[in-house]
Amino acid sequence: MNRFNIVYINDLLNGKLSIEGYNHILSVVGYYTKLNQWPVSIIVPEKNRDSRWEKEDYEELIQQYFEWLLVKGKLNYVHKVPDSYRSYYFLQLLISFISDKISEYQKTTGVSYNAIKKITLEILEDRFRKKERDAKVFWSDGDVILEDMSVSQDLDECIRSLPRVVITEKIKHLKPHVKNCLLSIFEVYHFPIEQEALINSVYRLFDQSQYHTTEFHSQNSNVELEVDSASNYKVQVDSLVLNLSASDCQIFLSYLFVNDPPSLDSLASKFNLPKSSLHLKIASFKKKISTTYIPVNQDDGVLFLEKLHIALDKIANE
Amino acid sequence: MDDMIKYIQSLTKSKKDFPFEFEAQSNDIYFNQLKALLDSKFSLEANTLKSKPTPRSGQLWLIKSTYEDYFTNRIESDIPFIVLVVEANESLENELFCRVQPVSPFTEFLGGDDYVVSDPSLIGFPFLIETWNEQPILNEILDYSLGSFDIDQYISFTDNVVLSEQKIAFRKLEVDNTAFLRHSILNYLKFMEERQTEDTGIVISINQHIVKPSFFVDEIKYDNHYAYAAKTGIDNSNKYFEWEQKLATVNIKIRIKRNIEDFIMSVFSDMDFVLKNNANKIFTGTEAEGRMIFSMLNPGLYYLESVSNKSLIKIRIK
Repeated sequence: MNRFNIVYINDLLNGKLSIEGYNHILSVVGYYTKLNQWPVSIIVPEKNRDSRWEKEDYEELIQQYFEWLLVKGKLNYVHKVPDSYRSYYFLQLLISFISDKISEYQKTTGVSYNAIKKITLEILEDRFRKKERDAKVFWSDGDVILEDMSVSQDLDECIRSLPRVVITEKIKHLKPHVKNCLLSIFEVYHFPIEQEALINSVYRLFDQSQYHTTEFHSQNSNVELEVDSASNYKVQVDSLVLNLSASDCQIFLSYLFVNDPPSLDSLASKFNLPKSSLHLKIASFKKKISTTYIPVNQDDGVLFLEKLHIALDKIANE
Repeated sequence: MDDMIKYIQSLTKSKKDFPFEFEAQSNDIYFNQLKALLDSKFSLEANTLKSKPTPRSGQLWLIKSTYEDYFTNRIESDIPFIVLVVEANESLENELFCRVQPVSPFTEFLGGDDYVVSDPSLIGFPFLIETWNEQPILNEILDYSLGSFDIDQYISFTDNVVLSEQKIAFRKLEVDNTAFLRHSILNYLKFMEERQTEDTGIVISINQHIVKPSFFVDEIKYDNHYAYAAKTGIDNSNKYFEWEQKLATVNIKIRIKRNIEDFIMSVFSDMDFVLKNNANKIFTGTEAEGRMIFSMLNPGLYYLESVSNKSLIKIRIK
């Protein structure tokens, strides 16, 4: 199942998609997902990049793919694409869409310590030897002889010269990189290593400098902004709530203005919307907030959000 | 872009199979949302007009997805091809050919020396013209024209030809993946090189087995050595090509004789056959002395189909 059947694609474009056609599209997308081992986190950011794909994740991918086609205007002249070329065209667009998503994901997401820790422990259990002493766990790639520790070198000093793994869009799965890091560490350090220190060392071998730079720039850009002391936020709040429906406001209030936001899954079923549409709605509104008003400090931000909360609440209850 | 490279790489390779375990029901929320998303947005009126004008420089053509080469092999492509004709209707011993540049929708791999047509209204999507992948093809594999454009007015390009590693990989893959196009003419050249005499070549294919009928002069069979001599000058008005085979339980002998401009084919067999050309035109033969005689045959590909058991013999005459 490695090509889109053009009959089903045409049915979809003509608004006549059958459930057979939908399942066909689902299976083609599933085929390429498996063939290329795309990480689920590019579509569902809440998931870990090594998580398993569920049915809803594939459906989410399809939903986002077609939304992307519409937003990018890729279907504006689809009637001009020759029939026999159309299946290939949709497949090429799927690959372009995924490439975009991976690139976007890699630009905004560093590697979390927890993700590294989880993968490191998995590999250690599989491939390395351990020994416990004084409630601490030590790991080695050969026999774990803790007596040798008395003459051990400085771990930090040893790994200083090791190459860093730069997180780029090429990296889709961390496991092989974590494994390489572990092997490299044990190649230069020939003593057992305490578990926490080992995980820290692996984590430090991932070069996340580009993300730190982005954060730094974004913090500094706030400082440069001047306060409009006369503002009572009315203009900005009015522009944010313009054309919002009561249902939109209820969604934003339920997700953005609560201490413990619900999962997108539960919110999607509550409002009877696909997760992707909900995600898009919330992400667009958040982006709109951040571009409409940039607070000078925390107090200013809280005040602004309070005003916005009141305005949303008003529309939601109209 | 690595995913795109991987995808392009996989286009002409055999595909792995991945079972897909999920199936949606008609009340699936994603299914209904997808239908609603694209409902009534597009008009896919079938473009049934498939024009086949005389090829001219500047035309975009869709290539046939399958063709039979000069040795009667059926050549199929997994990928549809669109090409820009840059030189039209050259002739090589009466066989017309064009020089073409393949068109690719992967504009992400645009190099400084590529031509790009950004206007999607021409064939439905922006494309790059692979000027570096120009090749000859036989006219007979052109399927239908997508229109004639003054391509120069759409083209833009920069003079920076420094290529990234990915762009170099893309070009190499594209050259490999378009072998289907140039095979048409390379195979023709091979046929010409190996033909039985200096002016005639006959190839017969039965059950995927290709044979070259023996060459006779005055009823004396010439082996390769004499056939070679014939190529270089020996000529005789009574020369012909003959092939004999047991087909199921019946013998069949095919004799082909060249006139000045055309050919005569005699089929000796107890079985009844129908002769068609590759445009599906049926030829009526004359029965005489236990054989069917088909005269005034032009060079081309013919199909001799048994009326009783439908076995097919392909005959290329040039």
